[in-house]
This record gives sequence, structure tokens and C-alpha cells, in this order.
Amino acid sequence: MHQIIKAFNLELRRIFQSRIYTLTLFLFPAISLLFFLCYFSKSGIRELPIVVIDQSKSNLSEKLIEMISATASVKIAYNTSNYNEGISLIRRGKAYAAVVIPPQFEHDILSARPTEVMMYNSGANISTNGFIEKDIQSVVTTFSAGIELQRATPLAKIMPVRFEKHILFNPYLDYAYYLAPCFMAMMIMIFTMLSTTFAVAQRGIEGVDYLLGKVLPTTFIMWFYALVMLLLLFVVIGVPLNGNRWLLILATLLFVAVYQAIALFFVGITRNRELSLSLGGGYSVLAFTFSGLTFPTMAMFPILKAASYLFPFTYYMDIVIDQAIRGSAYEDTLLKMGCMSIFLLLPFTIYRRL
Amino acid sequence: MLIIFLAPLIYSLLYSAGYAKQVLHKVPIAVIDNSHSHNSRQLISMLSASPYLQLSYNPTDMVEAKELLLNREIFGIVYIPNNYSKALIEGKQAVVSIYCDASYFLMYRQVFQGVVSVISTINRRYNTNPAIIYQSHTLFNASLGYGTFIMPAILLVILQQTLLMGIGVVGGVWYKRALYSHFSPITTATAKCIVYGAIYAVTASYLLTLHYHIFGYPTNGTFAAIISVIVPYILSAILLAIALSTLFKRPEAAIMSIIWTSIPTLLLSGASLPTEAFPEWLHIIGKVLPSSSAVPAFIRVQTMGATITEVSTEIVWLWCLVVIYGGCAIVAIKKRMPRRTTKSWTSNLPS
Repeated sequence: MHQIIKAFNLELRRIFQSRIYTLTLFLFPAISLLFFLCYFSKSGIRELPIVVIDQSKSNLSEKLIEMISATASVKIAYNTSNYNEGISLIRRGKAYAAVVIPPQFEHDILSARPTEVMMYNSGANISTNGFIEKDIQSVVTTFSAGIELQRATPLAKIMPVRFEKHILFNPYLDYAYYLAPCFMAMMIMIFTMLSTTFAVAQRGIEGVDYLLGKVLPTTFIMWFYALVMLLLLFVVIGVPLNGNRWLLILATLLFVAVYQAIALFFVGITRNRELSLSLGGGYSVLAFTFSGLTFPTMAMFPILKAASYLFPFTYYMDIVIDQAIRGSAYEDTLLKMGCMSIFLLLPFTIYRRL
Repeated sequence: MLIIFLAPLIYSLLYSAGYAKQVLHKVPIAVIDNSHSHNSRQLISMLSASPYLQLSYNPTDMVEAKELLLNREIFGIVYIPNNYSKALIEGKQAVVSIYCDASYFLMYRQVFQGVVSVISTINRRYNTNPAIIYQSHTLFNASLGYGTFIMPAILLVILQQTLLMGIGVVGGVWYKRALYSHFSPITTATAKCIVYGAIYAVTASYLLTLHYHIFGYPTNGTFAAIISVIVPYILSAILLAIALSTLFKRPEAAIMSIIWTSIPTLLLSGASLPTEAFPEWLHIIGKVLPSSSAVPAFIRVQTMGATITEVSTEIVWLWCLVVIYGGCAIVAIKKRMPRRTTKSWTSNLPS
């Protein structure tokens, strides 16, 4: 115990003596959390610029354009009748998509012939693609149904099967609900790894007590930032909290401890500060991809899917989604916390090398 | 050295491998069929034919289905009510309920798109004379592959970040060994530019040719257009790195200061979520990073086949950054030089 307190005090002094140590523990985490707070301060994707290629220039085409511009997700930034000019606007990065209204649009509708509306979506960015596709399709379908209703076609003939959409867990489809916890937790993870590595990758460490004393200051500081993160997520950004908050807090504290254990492990196997920092940093940054949060692991090759279990971040994100967004039962979360705890044993495997 | 030579290759390989399958197929869903009719069975067989969906379970009620959903066994539920077939036969509107799990966006989208496109197909069979036929085409990433979407951005950000870290680590070594004092700032900056430029010319060539080819990313850009974006990009990144590297007094400081900025850098380029998703002032500040201009320009060149004139704004800004960071690098090196030195520089070199 005496050794722990002694090492703890020495480490605290070292934190304030080394500029990079101070920055990594205090300034950088604060800046990174602030960055994501600003990044997610705008709610939702709105007014994505698109171009309308109106070759009809008629009353009806103008009505359709009016309806499109009333949609929240898109903004008609350009209106041209030249197809090539419209597509060039996409290549110049000025618009994400082009809606083409053919020359015979009004004539066809008035003479009760089917007409076509084409949408050319860039596809280079699949997140904007999805938003635009969904909204333009629904506008055109509604517009078409409106015309058919005027022709006295019964609704059951226009659309025999209607669907009722129920969006579960994230009804407003707010991507910040899962991206903000993910990115902020990644920052906590990276700074935990870096500061723990910096604390222990040093010659002349003797005994478990001494090692523990050196690690504990970073534990407490990163725990503090982890709690600040939860506060920012659930109070400021407004991520829903449908599950058990205490379980979530406990999992968050465990998350920090687990990454400290992994940092010790890297220091133990490399016995080199720069190498363990690079390895630890690389391992942290990769965790995002393997968490399957944006691109699910079920679509990955089996070996990579298996590799995703080597990142505690994967379990932690499952826990966050379960407890914050889904409001799931405890059992699964406790099981995942158990899986995370296994990583705490890693330092013991290389204990002699530390 | 590990950072400069190996890191870009390892990172690019691991990220690309993760997204190698590109498209998410066969998301498991459950169907509750209360209609038990020819029409409902037809709907179910169409759902199971969809490439996006996999009908994994046939629960008897919603309670059972929701349990499956919470356990991540399924990501969507299609509920066919008992009057489904009756309504269709009597010429009334039939209603099908879709429940989608929106906690994972890509899963949500595949399930939703899959079910909606099946229902539209059924509607088209009944309504043979619609007023407007809506058609949609994807111009540049036809299969909407995830790797094709995000990897060009990640590859470019890897180049910049490993440069910042690698040159930073060397900068820390230079400070430790007081090497700055032995050459004029312009000589130091030029020499570093040539060395790192040569190394990264090889790395970038590998990533943009062989790596691109292996993973099948689109290569619609002309050689001239690619070079026009990549050259000022690498050059401005090197000069920014040289300027920053003078701040590091020890090698590890560079790693600790740079590594966490990778994700914010990627986000500021607007390649994952569009620039419309975050505040405009953040987007404008982000322009100080070479990647914020190079990433969108490069994607437009390689994925969309944009010409040099179509990305000229970004190219001009990248050259401005070259000039600005060139100046910063020289001033920063000058600041690191002690007024007078008596030691011979060779004594500081590693033996």
C-alpha cells in the first residue's frame, strides 16, 4: 500500500512535469470531446443540394419541382434544361443528385399516358444517397398518386398494398444517437491507451504495487473524462437513455480499465515506448471498423468477423446501444461485461516482462 | 520508420479487408403471416427472393418476434394481417406493417429497401397504368458498395496522418539530438520534402494502383487529374508535417499528439457524413487540413471521373496550402535553431 501511494504521488508529479503527458491527459481529451460536441450540434442532414433538369418547363413540371423543394432533406440548388450541365454539377461537387423531367412530361400526363421521371444519384456517398433516394421517390409517388386520384382512379387501384412503417429504437433516424457515443468512446479509448503506455513504458519499475501506483492517476483522470462523456451524450446531445444508467456507468468504467490492461500488455510485449504507442494507437483506431457499427460484421469475411471479438470496443458499443438506445434486459449486457473483463487478465500473461 | 514505411500498408490492408465484401446482403428478418393465403405466400416468396433479405424465422406473434429482435437474431419484422388477402380480392387497400431496427443504419436501410421494393413490385402488377413511372439510377457506385464509398477517403487520410506522425517522430529525434542547427532552414525543409516526397510517391503509387486494383475500387480518373490532386496534397501534407514536427521535443510526443486526430480529420473531409451534416464554421476551419480539400477532389476524380477543371477549386487551394505551410515550415525550423553552435553535427548522429 505504501508503495502504491508513493508511486501514485511520483506519477502525479511526472504528469505535470512532462508537457506531452499533461496535454494527453487534460487538453487533448477536452478538445476531442468538444470537437464531437460541435460536430453533432446540427441535428440531421438537411438541404442536400441537388439539380433539377427540367426539359418540360411546364406548369406540371413546376408543380413537381415545388413539391421536391418542400422536402426537408434536399434543396434545389440548380435548375437547368441541359443534361450534361446537370451531371457536370455532380462531378464538380455542387450537387449530389439530378432529377430529370422529360420534355413530354405535361403532354403525357394530360393525355393519360404514363410518363417517366428519372433520378440520377451520385452514389459516391452512400449516406447522402439514401436520404435523397427515399425522399425523391416518395415525392414522385405522391405526385403520381395525386394525378391518378384526379382521374378518379380509386386509391386501392393506385396502391393496392400500402405499408405501415414502424422504426424501432431510433424513430427519428438520428445518426448522432449511435455515432456520437461511438466517436466519443473512441477518443476515451485512444487517450487511455496513450496515457497508460506513457505511464508504464519506462525503465526501473519494480513490483506490482509500484506499477499500480503509476497507472492509477491515469485511471482516475480517464474515468473522469468517461463520465463527462456520458454527461455530454445523454444531457447535451440528447442521446436517449432507455436502459439502466448504472449498468452503463459501470460498463464505461470497466471499458477504461480494460484498455489500460491492453496498454500494459503492449508495453510488456514490445518493451519499447514508441513501438507500443504506435501499436496501441493503431489497434485503437482500427476498433471502429471492427465494431461493425457502420458496416456490420455479419457482412465481413468470417475471419475478420472473428477478429472483431478481439476489440473490447465491440462489446462496449453493443452495451451502449443495448442500454442507451434499445433498453434491453440486463443479462446480455452483463455477459458482454464479462467478456470485456477477460481482457483484464492480459497483463498477467506478460507480468515478468513489465 | 515503422510509421512511414509499414503503417500505411498495414492500415490500408486491414481497413480494406474489413469492407472487402462491400454490400450487405441477406439481413435476417422474420415474417408473421396471419393471412395464410395464396396472396400472402406470394408476398413471402418474393421477400425471400430479395437479395437484401433472409427470412430466418416465422414467429407466431409480435411478442416472440420482438424478443428475436432484441437478441439481434433478426433486424426487421414484416407483419401480414389476417385481412390481407381479403382486401386485395375485394379491391380494397391491403396494409402490411414493417418493423425495422434502426439502431444499425445499414441494417435498417437494407431491410427497409428490400421490403419496400417487393411491395412496389406487387403494386405495379395491379396498377398497370400509373401516371408517372419513377426510375432511379446510380451514376458512379452502382452497387452502393461500402468500401468504394469510404476507402478512397480513408486511404488519403492514412497518407496524411502517417506523414504527420512519421515526420513528427523524426522531428522529435532532431530536437533531441540538436540537428536543426547544422543546416539552413531552406536546406532542411527542401531535403525533407525530397526524402518524404520520394517515399510517399512510392506508397501513394502502390495504394492508388495495385491496392485499388486488388479491392476493385473505381478508377475513372485520368492520370493527369489524379496527379494534379495528389502532388499538391502530398506536398502540402509534408510541409505541414515539417512545420508541426518542430514542436515535438521527443519522438513519442508526435504519436500522442497526432494519432487521435485521424477520425476528426476524416469527418471534416465530408466523405463519410456530408458537409451539410455539421456546422459550416467547422467545415471552413477544417479547410486548413490538406485532406479536407484533397479527399473530396480525389473522390470526384477517381470515382466520378471528374476532369481537372471540375476540381480546380480544390487544386488551387491545395497549392495555396503548399505555399502557406512551406513558409510556416521554414519559419518554424528557424525558430528551432540556436543562435550559435560549437558542436560538430556528426557527433550527434547515431553511431
